[in-house]
Amino acid sequence: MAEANKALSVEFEGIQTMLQEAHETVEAIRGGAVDAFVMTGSDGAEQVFVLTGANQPYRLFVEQMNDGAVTLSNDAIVLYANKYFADLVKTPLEQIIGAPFDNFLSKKELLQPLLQESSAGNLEADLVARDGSTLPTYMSFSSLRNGESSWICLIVMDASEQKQQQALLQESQRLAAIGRTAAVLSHEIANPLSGMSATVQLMQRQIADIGAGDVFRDQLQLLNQEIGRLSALLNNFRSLSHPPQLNLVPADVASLLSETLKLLGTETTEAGIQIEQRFSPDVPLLSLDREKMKQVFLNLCKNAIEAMPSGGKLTIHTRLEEDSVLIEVRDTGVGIPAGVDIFDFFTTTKPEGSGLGLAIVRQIVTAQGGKVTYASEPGEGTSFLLSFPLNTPLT
Amino acid sequence: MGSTVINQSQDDTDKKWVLRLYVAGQTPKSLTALSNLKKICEGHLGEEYKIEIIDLVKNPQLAKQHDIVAIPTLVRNLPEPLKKIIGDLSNTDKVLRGLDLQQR
Repeated sequence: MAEANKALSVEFEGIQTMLQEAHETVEAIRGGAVDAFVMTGSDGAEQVFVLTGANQPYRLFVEQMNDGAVTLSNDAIVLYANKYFADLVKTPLEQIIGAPFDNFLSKKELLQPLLQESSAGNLEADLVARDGSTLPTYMSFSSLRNGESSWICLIVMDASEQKQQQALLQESQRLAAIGRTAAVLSHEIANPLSGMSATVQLMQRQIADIGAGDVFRDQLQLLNQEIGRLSALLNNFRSLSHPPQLNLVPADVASLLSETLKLLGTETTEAGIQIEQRFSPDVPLLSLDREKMKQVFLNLCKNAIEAMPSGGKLTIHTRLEEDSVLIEVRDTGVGIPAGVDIFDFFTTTKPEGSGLGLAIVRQIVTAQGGKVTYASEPGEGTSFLLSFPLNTPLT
Repeated sequence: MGSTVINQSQDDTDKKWVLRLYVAGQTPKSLTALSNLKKICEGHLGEEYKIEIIDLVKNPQLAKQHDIVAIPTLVRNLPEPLKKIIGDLSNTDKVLRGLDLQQR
């Protein structure tokens, strides 16, 4: 009897323990203290199932990241894509999910390496958006096994900024090469040019001595002019290929501008151009190279005058805005067509222009810590804006 | 093996407390349970403990050993007897009682 009691007792304790544990489990579930469960499949193997809410951190991570994420079936149909990807291809998500990934690639044959089993890697590919525009991207892919099915996971990164940087780098390397060539060329050209100039002047004297008449004189005059033009071009080129040597002193922009305008007095009256000068008294002295800045102002004003062959108005303003000094040179002339970068070497709208003047302006202004920009309306006029920060660094 | 051990030292055999935390990857409750457990151990067990973390997502078959159904679950292997606490261990008092730890 006692044995039976003991057996019952033990069994009872066992049942109590089991009940206690079951009770605790239920309480834990009710209390939301657990978020995953172990289940036994029909094959007897355990599997862990996670409550959907628990995937939230991963989901948010993928949804919020600043790159495109795409999951493809192994025949390259999109099973999932995040919003970033949808924005990249400018297509609503519901038209992406279920569609062949091919639709978004500008070159379809790029999919081949992706479809190989268990491969992972990187590639560069152009995406094509709904509106036909393409976007260069870097993609990183890997295959993912999920039980029996095998998927491909893609991360798509917008490469346009890197491409831009690469293009800029190539461009600046190209320009550097041009600059070096120019320096060498101008050196080589300078000597023969001065020889030519000397010879022409000699010939002019000899002609005058033997009284050979006006015919030669005019032609020699023309020769001289052309040689002079070449020399000026050469000098401009030389100054562009070296950083300007600046002699910085405290300078009053207003007086520099006035002096420049005085030099152009005859030209402006002859062309019928009205001049308006407005110099703000708030503008302080700036650390500038006076001669070079006069060259800048001369260049800008001359351009303005040449843009108004039948008259117009030339406005020169200086003012203080926040922590910069702004200098504006505005004309009511022919304007500059859109899409042209007037600061580019050899870009000019003038039939006789060398195309270097504004490049030099920009070089001088930026070397002194300033910036130059322009706005233009063809037929209405152009406005150049120079801006110098108040504490112009000494470069 | 799918397990990580915390506060392991060269000679483990003298650890008075051997605890095993069953988690499911990095679900919020799993992370909470681990964080709570560490705090409790540091606060009440000094250096005498070792925590083993078993990720059942990586090794579901290990759930059998202690009959794990809901995750996270904490199992006290040592000192005996075996104790099981289910949930994210946020209720410190309940955990201390469950582990038979005196409130200091």
